[in-house]
Amino acid sequence: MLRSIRWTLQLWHAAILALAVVGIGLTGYFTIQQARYKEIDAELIAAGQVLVSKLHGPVRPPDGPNGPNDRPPPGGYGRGPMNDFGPGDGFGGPPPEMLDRDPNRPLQDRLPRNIELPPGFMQRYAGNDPSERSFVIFSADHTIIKSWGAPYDPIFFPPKGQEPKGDTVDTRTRGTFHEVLMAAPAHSTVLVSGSVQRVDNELHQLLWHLIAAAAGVLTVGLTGGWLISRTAVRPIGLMSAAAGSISATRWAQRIDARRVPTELRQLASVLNATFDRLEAAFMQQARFTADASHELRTPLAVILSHTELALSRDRTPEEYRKTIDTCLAAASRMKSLVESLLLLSHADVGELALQPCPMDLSDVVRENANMLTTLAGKRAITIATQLQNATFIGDPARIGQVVANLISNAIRYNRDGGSISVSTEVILGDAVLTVADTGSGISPDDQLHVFDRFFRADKARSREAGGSGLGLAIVKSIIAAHNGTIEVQSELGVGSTFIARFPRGSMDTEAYAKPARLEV
Amino acid sequence: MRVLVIEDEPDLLSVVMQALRETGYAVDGAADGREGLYKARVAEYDALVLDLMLPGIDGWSLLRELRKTHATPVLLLTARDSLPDRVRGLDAGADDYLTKPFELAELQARLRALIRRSAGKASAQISFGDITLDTATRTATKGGERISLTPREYALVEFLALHKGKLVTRTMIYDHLFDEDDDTLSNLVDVHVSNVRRKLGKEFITTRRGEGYFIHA
Repeated sequence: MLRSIRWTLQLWHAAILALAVVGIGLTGYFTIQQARYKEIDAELIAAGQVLVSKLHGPVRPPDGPNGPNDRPPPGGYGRGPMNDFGPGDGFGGPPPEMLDRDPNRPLQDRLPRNIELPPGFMQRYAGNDPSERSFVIFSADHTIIKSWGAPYDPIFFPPKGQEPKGDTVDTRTRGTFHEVLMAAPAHSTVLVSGSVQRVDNELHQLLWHLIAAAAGVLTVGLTGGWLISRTAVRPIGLMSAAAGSISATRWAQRIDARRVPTELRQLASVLNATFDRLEAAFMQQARFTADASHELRTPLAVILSHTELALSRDRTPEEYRKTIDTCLAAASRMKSLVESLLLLSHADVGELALQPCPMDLSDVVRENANMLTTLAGKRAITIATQLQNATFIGDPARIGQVVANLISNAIRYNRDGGSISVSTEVILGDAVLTVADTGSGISPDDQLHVFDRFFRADKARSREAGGSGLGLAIVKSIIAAHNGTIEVQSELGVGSTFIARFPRGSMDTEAYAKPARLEV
Repeated sequence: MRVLVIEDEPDLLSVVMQALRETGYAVDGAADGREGLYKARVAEYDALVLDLMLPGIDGWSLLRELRKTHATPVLLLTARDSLPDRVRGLDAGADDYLTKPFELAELQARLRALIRRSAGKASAQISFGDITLDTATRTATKGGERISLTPREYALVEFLALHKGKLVTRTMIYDHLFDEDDDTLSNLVDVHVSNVRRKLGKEFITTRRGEGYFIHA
């Protein structure tokens, strides 16, 4: 499963999508949470400011020369710096208590004794549920001067001396409560505490909505991804189906490169090219097998029919002898054909058993030319040799086969009274064998095929004169196994020249341990 | 019956020709396509045995050329037994085929069947009056009794029987019962006719003087 492209795609897709959804969801969640908390904090601060301003109140002048009755006119002389309540704020009503500014009295005693909250304060700042907010004023020695709202117990005082000073506003979080601490006159402190429980509940609900939405998005995304990946992978399936339907009997099938996405087109054409090569090789093999069986069937038919005829009635000893002679000739032909086929098939799989040793090409040619002189003489063909020493590492028996095949061909396809010249020499580090005849020559088209198996340049030639059609194929295989090359130069009506080159460079036997494979 | 064998393998050509001769056919041979086509066109053959892979003109082309003018039954001999090769051969106008290696007995049986069918006879037995010919065993019986005939005499009787009710000229007899090596100027036909008359009855073969012979249906 992990090796499946589709699953890999899907897993990556799922991971990226999940990451994106979770990222967006969490960012959204925390942004909203912070915004809501800030809102609450702002409310708490506003409430605290109201309380602080309330404590400042209109300044009561000290009991001066006019005595304590010397009170400022209604409306007061002014307001504390933080008091921004105006009549429009709904905080009208009776004038607030005034701070006793008498410096000789203890500080807390100077705070107004009877602080009244402005009307509407609780409605405005206590939140929807009275239990959510507490408002406490405590003195420097942590005695609670006054508290409203929800009972706030036990009070959580800041360490002494660390109460906020001046205009600073301290905020802190205690459990599900946000608290605001502000400095109030006479070293007292105003504490406003608000529960965020309700907001947290809302946020909790929001979280579930977000999770549900994320799950929905993931499901849709993954399903879409699965479908898309199926579409993306489908051409691969089509290609493999097309490739799978190619068999030994149905070679025509190819991948339709036009119906494949651009990314896969290259692969499709590479596959098609491979199929073409395979088909060609397969067809060549099939043709070779058919040719081989054809060549074997003819002598087999000769043996069968001759024996059948001889046995059909009593014959003279003469006739029996003739039959046996014919059968022997046919059997010999089959034997040499089978040997040739065996050699070629060994060469094909790179198992041509070579017994390489340092050898001289000229010795091999001398030996074979002598043997074939008689055969050439029957048709008044002369063999001229021009032999220079040309040593290389090779299998003398196989090279002898090459030489014999080439000279036999030169005789077979020569005209009566023609000539053959055979030479050996060393050219550019190669041992070179050249066999030239004065025969009918080979047409340029046929030159391409002379080394093909069962190819006969002259199809009109009867089987008696022609060989098996394997001679040059064998020559080429043996030379290839020696890492050599062979080429033909020919002109119609003038003659043909075969040139074989054997590299002398690799004089180590190592090179022959694994002979070069023939190209199919 | 006269048969032409076209086969480029000399050993095979000789054995097929000899086997057919020994069973009473007049047999000619050709070693390549060109010679084969020429002979098949100029002489009257009752059947052709044709190898497909031939130098000169191959078997398929030979067949196509021959079929333009002749309807001679053709038995293909082929070492190629792939389906396309056989279909190609039959489509080119062959009547039957045989794959190498083959047995002579089968070759002869198929050849007999070809000749019989081309004469419009489905059965291997030909009867007229009290005489019955068995083309498979190449024997004649008269009133249930086996009549001993030489191969040539049997061939003459069979040829006349396949053409019964029709006039058979001396030329036809020479063309179909004698191969190119026989001396056509001899009076061999007269000798054979008189021998057959002696064995099967004088009234069996009717002579139409100056024209030829025929047997009544």
